[in-house]
Amino acid sequence: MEDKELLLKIRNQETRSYGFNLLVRAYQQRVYWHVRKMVIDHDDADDLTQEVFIKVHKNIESFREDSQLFTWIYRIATNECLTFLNKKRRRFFLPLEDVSKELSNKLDTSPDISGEDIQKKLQKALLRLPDKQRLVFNMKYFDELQYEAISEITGTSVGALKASFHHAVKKIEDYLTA
Amino acid sequence: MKKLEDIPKKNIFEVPDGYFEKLPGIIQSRVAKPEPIRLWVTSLKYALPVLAIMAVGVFWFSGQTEKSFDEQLAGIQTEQLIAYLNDADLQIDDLSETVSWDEIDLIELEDKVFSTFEITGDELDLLLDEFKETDNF
Repeated sequence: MEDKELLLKIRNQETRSYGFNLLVRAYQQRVYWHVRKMVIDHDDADDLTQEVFIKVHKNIESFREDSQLFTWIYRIATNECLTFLNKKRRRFFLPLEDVSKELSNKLDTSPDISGEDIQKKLQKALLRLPDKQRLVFNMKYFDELQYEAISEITGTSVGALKASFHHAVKKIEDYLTA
Repeated sequence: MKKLEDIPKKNIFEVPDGYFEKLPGIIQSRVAKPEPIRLWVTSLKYALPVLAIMAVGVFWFSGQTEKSFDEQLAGIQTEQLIAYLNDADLQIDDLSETVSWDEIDLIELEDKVFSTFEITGDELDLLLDEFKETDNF
């Protein structure tokens, strides 16, 4: 179903609930995987995904269709991830490296993470990047989004995003080689 | 050097079985539920002013009892005292009963009275004449 149809259903009081259910079904996986790659842990990703859709539900009336629905939802998800990681750091007075270490340990110990060693190593390399750079890398490399879409989501210029992605790739390859 | 493109792109994360089938229902039930009213916020909204008033009251009244009689008296304006004494039906005898004068007090009082007293001989004669006249009544 097209986004326009979804929005029409959500904005109609009689079909609102049905329309929102369709929206969740359409976007839940993209949101979940976007969040999961940032927070690593399934339970955290589950909580955040739910929060994202609750915010979508609360604010859908203010969505002006200047951007695509999915970039708007991605933006909410991105903000939720960054807020969550910042809170985690503040709550335990942890520096960046310690949160990265904690998430890195989860990569080794969580039962719901599989994959070959090299793929885990790639994830560990990603965890060494600043949160925003990791987000950009994930959206470009794994989600294969266009720079223009990432620019809408993050509010960063395309040029800056290209530079950020280039630096991220460089750091990752350095880590993988070491 | 290891290149990124050499690594097969694969999602290594997994979810519990049936997770994505259940998630829409969970979200739907959460949005259908009214937001829980945060009771402590409501309670605090009413309790804080009461606590503030109580704190001010305790401070105020405890401060009052600690003040000595002289300090309290010093806090009263002279005009208010004069007004009170004028209004109160007090006789000189009542006052003299409550106040004990020693000799030094009386000498000081006399000095104060006479120090403000500047009267010429003529004025004194006039005053005495008036006194005699009123004394006739």
